This record gives sequence, structure tokens and C-alpha cells, in this order.
Amino acid sequence: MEQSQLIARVLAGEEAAERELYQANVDRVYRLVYRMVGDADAAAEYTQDAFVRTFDRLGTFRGESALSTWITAIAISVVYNGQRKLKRIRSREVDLEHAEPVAVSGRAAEPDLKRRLAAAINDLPEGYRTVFLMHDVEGYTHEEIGMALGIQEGTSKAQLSRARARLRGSLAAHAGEWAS
Amino acid sequence: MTQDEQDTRFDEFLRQRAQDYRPPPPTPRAELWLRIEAARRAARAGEKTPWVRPLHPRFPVRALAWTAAAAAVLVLGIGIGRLSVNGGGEDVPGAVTSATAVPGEALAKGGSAGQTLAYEVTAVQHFARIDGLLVDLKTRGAGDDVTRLARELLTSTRLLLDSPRLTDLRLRTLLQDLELMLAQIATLNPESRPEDLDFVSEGLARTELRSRLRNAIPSGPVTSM
Repeated sequence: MEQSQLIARVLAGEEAAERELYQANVDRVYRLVYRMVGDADAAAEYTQDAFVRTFDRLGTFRGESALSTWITAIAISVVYNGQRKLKRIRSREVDLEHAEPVAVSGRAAEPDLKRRLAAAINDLPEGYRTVFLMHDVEGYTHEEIGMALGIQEGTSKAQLSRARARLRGSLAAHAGEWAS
Repeated sequence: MTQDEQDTRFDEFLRQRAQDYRPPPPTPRAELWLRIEAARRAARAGEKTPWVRPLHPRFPVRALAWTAAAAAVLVLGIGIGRLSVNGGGEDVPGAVTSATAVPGEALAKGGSAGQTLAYEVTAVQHFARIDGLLVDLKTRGAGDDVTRLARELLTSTRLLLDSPRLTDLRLRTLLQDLELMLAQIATLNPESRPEDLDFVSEGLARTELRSRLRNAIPSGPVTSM
């Protein structure tokens, strides 16, 4: 189905078209959102909000990118806003000095490579982590990432490179795994 | 090994290992679609939808199944208890005596206590009709008569939700869940694809709606009141 035809059908109020749009995109959106937040309830809530906003704003979509990329951009925006709100709430509710760290520092001894890698990814700055998750984990191209995040392709590549460099530093103790 | 070769090997190693980072569960497609539809419907009506849960829900989703079941038992208990006291309900002011009666007719009659009882009786009858619809949907598929009945029951469900007699939060939750399900069924047609019916089935299973509904229906004839 041509993208423009599908959008026209959705804007005309055709419920089957709405479901088609949803089914074509929900898996990829949910997967990325889940990777970003690591919680099923939050991922469901953000994915729901992303699609509600997608349908609300579909009339403003100008086709500069693929529809799927546009929806991804909306989802990332929803996640960022939600996570910032959550951070503000948590900072009011919890004495941060005594709070459990959200991400375990890579400096602590972690016998398990998997856990150390997860901690290192959690420790990445938000932008680096998003680019890394989109490209290396979920397979988005730099063009898609650029469109979704509103950055140049070159910036996406640079951020990915910096993310990988940081992760490599965090995993230095395990260099034998890939260097041998 | 050159630095470039090491970098390439690390990048590949990282890509592989990072697949284990927060591995996503299967997408809850059906549940999400129901929630999205409900949120959009509520937005059009200018209401706050119960499906757009706050970031920190005070009422965890997993608790809903238990509390909704408890609510259904509450309705059942009230319905049976009061019907027993009043000798089967035929003398109850405003009691619905026909399965096809519109809920509003019952609510218009009788005093306050009678209206509350009439509401409860009507709700139980309504649940029985919905249960019958689900049986028809399963055995006969999404024929015109099934979807037409779903639309009628959807209207009745909304009337029950709008009634000032609805004060029980857990009964409200059950009715809201039924509203979403009926809205979904009402859009089906004989040409609906299997995955459309799967949407309904998945939603029913995920919210444990069928068992909650049946818990709300007393044993014995509902319409002979």
C-alpha cells in the first residue's frame, strides 16, 4: 500500500486503514521504546501515547521522511518527555544521596560481561544511548536516526562512534573477548 | 591485529552482545490498540480516558483483575440478596422484567433505593446479554446480527456508565472494560480477517473479562424477574 494512499484513507476516517498503519509500525516502535525504558508498563504507555499523537497529527505529516520514521520521532519525543517528568518526580520524592543508582557504575566490579555492558549502556548520555540503541541494537540507518532525532546523518555517526568508544572503555577488562 | 581491525571486531562484538540489553517482550498489540482507540474516543468526547494511565498509576494494572472480580461478586451479592428479600424482584419498583428493556426505563421508576436496586438488576441482566453475545461471536463469527447486537449493548453499557446510580468504582471498571470490547466487536463484519477477531480474543484474555463477566451473572434465570 502506497504510504500516501494509506494516510489518505486514515485521514478519511477509515478504521481499517488506522489499524493497518498501527499494525505496520507498532512492533518496531514498541521494541525501541522498551529498549529505552526497560519497563513493560512504561513502554506500553509511551507506545500508546505515541500512536494517539500520530493519529492526531497525521494531517500535518508532509512526507519529508518515511511515515515509520516520523512515528519513531514522535515515540522518542514521548519517551524523553516522560522520562524527564519521571526524573523530576523521583528527585522530589527521594533523597538522591540514599537512592539506589539507576545505573550501576561500570567502576564497580561486575563479574558478568552482560551486566557490565548493561550498566555501561545505562551510563551513556541520553543522546548517545538513543543513537546506539537505534543503530546497533534495533538496526535503524543513520538517515532514519537523523530524521527521527532531528540531527544530521554525520552527527548520528559521530554520536554512535563516541558511544562505542565509551562502551569500549567500560568493557576494557573484557578486551580478550573481541581482541583475540 | 591493526587498530582498525580491532575496532571492527569490537563493533561487531558490541552489536551482538547488545542484543541482550533489555530484550523486549512480545508487543501487546491487542491491548495497546484497545487503549489507543479508547484514548482517541475520549479525546473526541472531551473526557479523560481511564486507559491513559498516569505515569505513576496509583492502581497497578495487575490489581485490576482481582478488584474487578471482587466488584463483580459485590454486584452479584447485592443483586441476589435484595432480590431474595423482595421475593424474586417482580415487586421491586422499577425492576426490569424484559431482557430487551432499555436500562433507562427501569431507572426512571421507583424511589432512590428502588432505583439503585433497579440499576443493579439491570446491570446483571446486561452482563448476561453480553455473555450471550460473546458465545454467538465465538460460535457464529462476526455476522451482521452479532455486530448489530454489539452496537445495542454498547449503547446500553454507556447508559449504565452515565447513570448517577453507578457509584461502585469496581463495577465502573468492569463496565468500562466491556465498553471497549463491545466497541471493538461492533466494528467487525463478516469479511473481517482472522487477526481482527484475534484482537478481541486477546483483549478478553488479557483483561480476564470473560471470567469477570460470568462472575457478575447469578446462576439461574436472569430474565424471569
